[in-house]
Amino acid sequence: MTKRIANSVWLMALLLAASAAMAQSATGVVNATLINRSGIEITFDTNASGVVLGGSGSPAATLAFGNISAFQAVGAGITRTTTATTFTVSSPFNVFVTVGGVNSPSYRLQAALQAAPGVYTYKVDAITLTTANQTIVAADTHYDLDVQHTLFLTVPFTAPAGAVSNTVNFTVTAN
Amino acid sequence: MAQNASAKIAVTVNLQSSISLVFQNNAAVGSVGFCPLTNAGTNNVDLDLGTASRAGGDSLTCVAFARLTGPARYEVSSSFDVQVQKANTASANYRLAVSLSSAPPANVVWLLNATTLTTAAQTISAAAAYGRVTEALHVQVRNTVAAGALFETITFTANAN
Repeated sequence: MTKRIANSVWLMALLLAASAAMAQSATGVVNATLINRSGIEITFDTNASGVVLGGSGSPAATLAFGNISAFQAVGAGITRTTTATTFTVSSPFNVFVTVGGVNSPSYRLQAALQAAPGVYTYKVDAITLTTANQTIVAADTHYDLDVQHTLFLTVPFTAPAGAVSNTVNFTVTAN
Repeated sequence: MAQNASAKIAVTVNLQSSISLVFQNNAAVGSVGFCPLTNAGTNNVDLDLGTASRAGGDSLTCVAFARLTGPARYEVSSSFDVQVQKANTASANYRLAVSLSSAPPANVVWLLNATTLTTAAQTISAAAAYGRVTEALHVQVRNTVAAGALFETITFTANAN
């Protein structure tokens, strides 16, 4: 009887030892889903040589020329040229376009005035703006980079003194 | 004459050591970078990372979103807890390895913490302490990746050391 008990203990010890020697593992899974969608975004950044933009880094910026005149000094970042009948102030600004979800090699940049300009002339680069979209660049390949453009405002000497404002709406389209 | 009888039952057991792995919501669940798991507390959970683009960000406020450059891409991430428990073992720690169920599309990278995941098991921790540990799942998507669903089953395996 004593021997049978001893054998049982020995057997149990063997079983426990075998269990302890077994590699233990556990697994789990995470089922993760992300929907990648296409999108394009344009934001404006202050150009180092131009007027400091209000709302720089956003898609809704302001470019305030401040007080301008044909013959008095202009503010920082503003360039002025004059002719016999008009003067023009200008400032560079940066356009930053990013795209995703589509393999687009370039983008088209268009701009339009929100309101008719009256006696004033607005240009972006060499393009005169109207209330209809004008193409500024047909195929700009510079995604994710600040691209410099320049806003020009031409004022005739005959225009009355006072506030002048308008909004330039930019549209960017992935090619 | 008194009648009696006796009997006995011999009980034996083969006690085995074991460990378990489940996923838990982090204490910060719902805040940025900590999205809720579906079926939290089990070893088979779902994680919705929302709808995202580099231009527009992510549709879910719990997803941490970042625009990355060089090359242009975006990253979404969310953290959760992995809970590994042990029983009847002298194991002091465990090795955690992770793998993807399928190779991701070109220009899509899945990472756990800073480790890029593949279909081969990657060791995340060679000797992790038992208990709860927070892990961050990241997905990086380049701008050139076509719109559509990106899905992966990420398998976590804990092996007792």
